[in-house]
Amino acid sequence: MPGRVLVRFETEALAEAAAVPPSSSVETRLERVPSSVSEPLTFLRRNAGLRSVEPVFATMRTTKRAPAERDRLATIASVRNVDEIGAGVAVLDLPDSKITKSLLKKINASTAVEVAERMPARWLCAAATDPKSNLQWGLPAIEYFRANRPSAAKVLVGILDTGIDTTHPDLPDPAIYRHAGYGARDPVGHGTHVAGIIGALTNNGVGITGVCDCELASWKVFPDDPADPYLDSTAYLRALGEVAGEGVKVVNLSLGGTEHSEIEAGLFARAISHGVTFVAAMGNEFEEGNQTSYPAAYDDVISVGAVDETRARARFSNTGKHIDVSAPGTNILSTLPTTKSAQRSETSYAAWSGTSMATPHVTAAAALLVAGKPSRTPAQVATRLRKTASAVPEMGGSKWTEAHGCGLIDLRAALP
Amino acid sequence: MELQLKFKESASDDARRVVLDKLASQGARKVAPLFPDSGDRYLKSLYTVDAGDDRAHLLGLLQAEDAVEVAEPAMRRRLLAH
Repeated sequence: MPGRVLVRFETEALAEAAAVPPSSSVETRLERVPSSVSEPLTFLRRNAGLRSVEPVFATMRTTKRAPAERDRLATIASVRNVDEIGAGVAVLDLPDSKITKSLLKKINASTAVEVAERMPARWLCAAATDPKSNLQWGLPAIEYFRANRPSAAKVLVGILDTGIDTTHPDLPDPAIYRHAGYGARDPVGHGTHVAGIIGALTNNGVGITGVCDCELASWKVFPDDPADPYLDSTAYLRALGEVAGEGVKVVNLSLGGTEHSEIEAGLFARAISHGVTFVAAMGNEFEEGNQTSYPAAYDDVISVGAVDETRARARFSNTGKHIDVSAPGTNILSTLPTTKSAQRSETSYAAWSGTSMATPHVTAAAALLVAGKPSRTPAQVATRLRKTASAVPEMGGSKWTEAHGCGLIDLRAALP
Repeated sequence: MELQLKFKESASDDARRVVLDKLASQGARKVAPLFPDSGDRYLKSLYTVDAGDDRAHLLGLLQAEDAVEVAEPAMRRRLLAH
């Protein structure tokens, strides 16, 4: 049985190691970790089966270092760029049977340890076993943990994007993967990030928590060419024509542009009449003219703006008369392909921002609504999300504003 | 440059063929149905056109055809992550 010990290291003990510039070698950083920090960890490795050390309020880069070195790097990460309240907090993973009073007493005796205690059982219930979920501020913001969430395992959610990394250990295999001759991979990483927000595997002991457990269907509609930022319009229109016939119930569109298209709008109307709910991003150009973005502005498409960690409109998030709701869209941690590409140096997990990241929160919420009541029409899904959204302070008591729509989606209210 | 075209669903196969032939003779590089295998009347009415360098001319030609309901430049859409 796995066990957890919550430790808070003295931040002063790690101050020197944390002050080493990131450009310096790993060895330099490791040398700055004092023995008062490394010795208790070495003791636990040798005598108590310590398996890992994970900072609670920071993300660790993947490293091929020896376990003892990785432990020390984790302690540095627990204080570097972490605010005072969370600095130095880490979780030690070791066999439950080894967590005895005498062991805790020994760890607490270290001068570099402020406190060490068995992880409270309620933490194990709430945080489950996705070790990075505590970095997903968007989940509590949309009342994920307090919602009565049904299983969405039978709801097929379409993602029209850059593809999905099917080798990622935290993502389900997509039920459908159309890649229009571009190859079943995702060098850009955008589609993989969106997929993780919607449906990363939950309680699998890896990474993050997806908002729902739906089936994913991927249509790759962007080329892999880093010089070409625009989608392949033929692949995109085909995807819009295919989703209804494939049984897709909700479609995520973390994309947009300023040109209205009658043919595109017609395909949306047709799919919506067949029971497909579309969720689209408002756009990120508020500071560059705030032009209306499509498909978010088409009739009956749920349009999503982004809020930041303070629930204020994200500075980039477009506003407009067509906005329906808002969702978390800054510093959103999610999955990325496990290998680098010409377009992207980050791998496995990273925090990205954009209305692209807000939209999949709403897509997953729509999937949960469909799962709870499969007869819901797209219009009913949209109405439910709007009516149950929570007003944010910037709305000044209004029920709807051009900046926030009806406010921040609220899963607890939407799924009674 | 790509164009998008929708025939009127009431347009006959012969009327559509006339338009497609005209496109080919006037410089379109490629004309293809968006849903070649679909039996759906709406989806079967949609085509893409690779207009090459003569997009404005071909767009004007299509917009003047009775059998054509919509002819427009392909929309541009980009990703919305920062």
